[in-house]
This record gives sequence, C-alpha cells and structure tokens, in this order.
Amino acid sequence: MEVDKGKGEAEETRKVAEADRDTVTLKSSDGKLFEVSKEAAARLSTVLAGMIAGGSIDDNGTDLKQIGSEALENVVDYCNKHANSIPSAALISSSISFNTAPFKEPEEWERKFVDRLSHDALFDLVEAANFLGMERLLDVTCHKISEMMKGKSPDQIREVFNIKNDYTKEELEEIRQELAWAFYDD
Amino acid sequence: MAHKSILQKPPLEAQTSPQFLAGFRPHGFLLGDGQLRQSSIPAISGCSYVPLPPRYCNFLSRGAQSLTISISSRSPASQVVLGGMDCSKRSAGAVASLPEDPLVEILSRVPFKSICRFKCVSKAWRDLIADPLHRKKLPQTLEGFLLYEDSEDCGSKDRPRLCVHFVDVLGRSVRPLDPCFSFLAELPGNENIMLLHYCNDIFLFARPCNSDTSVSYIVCNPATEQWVAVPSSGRTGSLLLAGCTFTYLIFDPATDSSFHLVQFWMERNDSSVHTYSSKTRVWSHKKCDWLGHGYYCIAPNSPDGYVKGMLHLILYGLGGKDQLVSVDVEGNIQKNIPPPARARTGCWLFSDYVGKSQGRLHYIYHEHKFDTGIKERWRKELLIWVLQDYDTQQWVLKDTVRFSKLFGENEHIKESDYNVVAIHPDHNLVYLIKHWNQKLISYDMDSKQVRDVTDVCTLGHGYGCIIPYVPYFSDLSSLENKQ
Repeated sequence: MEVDKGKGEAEETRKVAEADRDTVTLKSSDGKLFEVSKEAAARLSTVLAGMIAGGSIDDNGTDLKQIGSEALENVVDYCNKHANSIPSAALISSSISFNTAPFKEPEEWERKFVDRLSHDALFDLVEAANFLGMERLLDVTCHKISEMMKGKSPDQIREVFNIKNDYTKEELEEIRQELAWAFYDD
Repeated sequence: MAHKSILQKPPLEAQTSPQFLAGFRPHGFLLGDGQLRQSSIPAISGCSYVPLPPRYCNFLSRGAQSLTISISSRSPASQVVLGGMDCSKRSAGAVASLPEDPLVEILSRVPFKSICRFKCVSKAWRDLIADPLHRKKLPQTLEGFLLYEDSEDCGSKDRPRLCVHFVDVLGRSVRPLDPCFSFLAELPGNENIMLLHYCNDIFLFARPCNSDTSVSYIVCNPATEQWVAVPSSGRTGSLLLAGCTFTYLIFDPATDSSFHLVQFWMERNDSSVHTYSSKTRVWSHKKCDWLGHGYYCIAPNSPDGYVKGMLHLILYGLGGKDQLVSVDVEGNIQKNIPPPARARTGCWLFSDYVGKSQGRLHYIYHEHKFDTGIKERWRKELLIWVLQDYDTQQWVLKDTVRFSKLFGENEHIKESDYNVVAIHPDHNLVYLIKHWNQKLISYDMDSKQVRDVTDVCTLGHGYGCIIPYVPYFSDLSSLENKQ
C-alpha cells in the first residue's frame, strides 16, 4: 500500500485534489507513506477522526512519528480488511457505544490477522492502536496477548515481555509467600 | 433515654434467625402433585456478582481528548515503568515493552488469580497492578464472605451492633476490608446500622433512629469506603424487619453511578411499592397491584439477580409454580420468566436461589422425588440452570447434584437445613451453608468436588446472614460521604 508521491506535482493541483480525496496519507516514523480510506480511518481511529475533522491532515503525509512503518502497514492493512469485511452487528455496536458494549470476540478474519503477526509486530501494533485511539484494533490485539498470557508463570511472562526480574532473591521469596494462595489451583 | 427502638432489640426469635434480615417465607408451596407443604426456610442473603470493572474506563475520556491522552500514555515515564528494556534497543528475538495503558487493557482480560501471580514478574508490574487507578480496570473476583452475627451481646459497648467476620476464600492472611465497617459504624447515629441488601458489590444498610421508630438508610461501597445517607421511606423499624417489607438496592456500574432503592410493603389487600433514586433524592410511593395477588410473597433468596437492567425476584406461588419476574427501578414487573423445569411428574420443586454468574442469570432449585428403589426413600437433587439466552428465555440445565453428594448420606436433609448462599461470579462454583453444623461448603460443577470452605461455628457466634464480597474500586459520584 505504500505510495510513491511524485515530487514534481504542482502545489495547486494537489490541493484541489486533496479536498476531494477520499483517502488520507499517513507517514511512518521512518518516512514511509501509506494511504488509507478517509472513511475507514475516521470510523476506526478516534485520533484520525479528530484530525480529519479538525483539518490537521497533512497533504504530504500526516506525520505519525510514534509509529514505525511495519506497524503502520499493519494498521492500514487492518483498516482495509475491516472495510472489506461485512460489518457485523457486533462490530457496529462495539464501535458506536464502546463504553458500555461488552467486548465482542474477535471475528475469524481478525483472529487470523493477529495470529500471523510475530510477537514484536503484535506489540508494536498494540502501541500503534493505542496511539491512534483504535478501539477495536486495540481490543483484538490485547485479546490476543491476554490469551498468550493465560496459564503462564511469572518466569514465562518475563520471557514473553522481555522483562528483567528486578527482585532480589529475598524479596521474591517474600512476595511469593504473600501470594502463595494465587499459585494454588482453583 | 427514649424507649428503645425495636430495631435495636428485635424479638429474640427474630434476632437469632437469619430471616429477620432478609424476610421470610410464610407458607409452604408446592409443585407437581398439588399438596401444600409447610416450610420455613431460613433466608440468607446470598449471591453476588462481580462486574468486571468497566473495561473501557480508560477509553471513556479518549474520544474527547484522544490525542492528548494517547500521547501522554506514551510518555517515557510509563514506558520505563513497564518495560524491562528500552524499545529502541530491542534486540532480535526480544519482545517489546508496552506502554501502561495497553498493558492494563491486556491485564484486564486476564483472570484475577493470574494477575496476582504476575505481581512476581517485576517491581514495576507489582506497582502497576497494585496502583489504585488500575485496580478499577482490572478484574476482581469473589474474595470471601462477610458473616453477620446476630448474637445477644452484639450492640453492647464492647461489641458493635454490626458484628462481622470475614472469611477469605482466596486463602490470604490479610483482610481486604474492615469487616466491621468502622468507617460507618463509628459515626454518630450509625451505632445500630444493619445490612439489608447488596447489589453489584454496593451495600445497603438500614439506620434505625435512636429517638423514634423511623429508619433511614445508608448506601455504601466497602472497597472505597464511600457512602451516602438516604432518607426514610416512611416504613417504621418494626415493619421493616417484620418480613412484610422487601427492600432492594439496584446499582449497575455499566450504566452510571446512580442507584435506586425499591421497597415493597406487603399488606393483605393494599400492597405498595416505594422507590428512591439517587438522582432525584426523593422517595415516590404508589400502589403495587401484583404483590399479594396470585403470588403471595417475594422470596428472600433472590438478593442479587440483577441482569439486563432489571431486578430478578422469585415469587412464591400459592398452589402453583414459583415465578421469576424481572422488576424495573419503578417496581413494575417487566417480564414474567417461566422458571426452568424438567419434564417430570411426581416431583416437588423448591426454589433455592436466583443470582448472576458469568454475566448470566442462574436459577437453582431442588427436586424431591420418591424413589421406589431397593430402599424406598426421597431422592433429592439440586439443579442449577442458566438462562442461556435472556431474550428467548432459553434455560439450560448446567448441573445436577444429589443431596447425598453435597451433604453426605443424611436422608433427612430438609430445605430448612441448608441454604444456597452464592454462586461464584466467575466460576461454576456454588456456595452453600449447612445449618446443622454451620459449615460453609462449595460445590464445583466442573470437577464435581464438594469442599469445606469454613466452619462458621469456629467463629464463636451464630450468623445473621452471609454476604459474598467482591471489591469494586471505582469512585462513585452518587456516594459522596454525606449525611
């Protein structure tokens, strides 16, 4: 979906075209440009919706300095796939009244979409979705990670999240004892 | 000193009986073969629910201030808190650290016990999980039961009226709350408060006046120690506790922070319903045309059947089947839900409990069937049903367990010998209290295991009622610590 924007394009022509365009151009932290439908962007991302409504979309590519090209590509890919999938009642309700609607299980295509991602890509996508205020994408990615965490020991969690154990041996022993009840099976 | 309010000292019989808090069952009822059966089931408020804290809390403000909030969540500080390493230095094969917001969002989908275990991951995770701000978003679960005493010496100088023990079902040694509600009971005028009802982890207390027979109320969240006073509905203390008054608290964190009280005054020919809203702060009164007509009495054992914005009550039928009704905050019946039943004849059915677990309404009753086997005797079974689809009223039989499995080979167990106290909000677990030896037991529908939870009698006193406790950590604007 990366687009190569001709530099020779006349300023005027572009401005006129931009006003009628039904896509927006997004620029990743490493300078790559991606195009996504304006409708999908506004519907799926509260941040992009705000920027579109506020007219702060940059014709040359709106800078998203926090998002790398791989994550942005996945964001755009998700938006396109979402636009193509038949919007189910579940998705409509979760995007409209997200503050009260319970979490809807990921749809089949959403599950496949996150399943193919590496851990790195998945975590980056969570950050991107969080940054862009994409509720549904955040739901789907967080759901995936929470599934990865289920039944894992603290050691395994450290491994998945690449976290250093900063407890001393004594401290760990103490907290383990405090939480002994949480280590028993139900 | 003015004459003692009857609330301060109910008749001995009422004091020692759990019924005085939760109403009583005046007559027997029957199903199946048409004979009236006497029963007096001690009523224990029991049940619970545990709402996942609104998962979208952190999203609520995002729509309006999306950009700011999103960006702030990416602040270097929060990145450092959670990640073991800097993102930019991520090595091949290593995985990202995550900003605080999404990590809380992820943890909010992980079971309560796992989250507690994850406190061992690192100090940053421990602090994140323990942070009161995040606690609101993370799932909570049934932590234990509050056991209210009804003993004689309660109310004396040394023992406050509200004598409560906390039984921790998680096996922790540290109490998660002050079971005596000192923050309430020690305030002037609150010496004799007593628990009436609870809904979605918020409690309703009656506050008898010291100088006359009037009763006002207190609604309180034990986890945050927030509370608010509610004026009298006009019902005097003696009638409030006499078994002809049914008071319900309705609170739904998924909707807003407001609460409602619905109080039924049952009279022979003139029943009425009295409702209070925390928004208007006034009681309204009207006739109740359905109570006392056809159905005689509201069952006490439907303490927290709050599902789909409706209170669910079991109505004991006279000469007919029990009914399950959904009642709105105005006290009107919105729906008549036929209780589940197996297509069997010659069975007696006895409603035990209605409550919510895993977001769905559950209905528990027991069947008596005369078994003409080798040894003629009554076969008694507890049946646990779930309302799988609320709209189509489709009940599914979740489990059946024989009394002999639950209580041992004691064939003389009557319905007055036990109570279903609660159904676990997240698991297929039912809690029961055995009155004859005061043991709280749990029955696991998945593993079919019966376990002793606690010996209530070891606590030294009888119990008035047993309340499941699930903390709810959100601040509620409707509870503002006001008299």
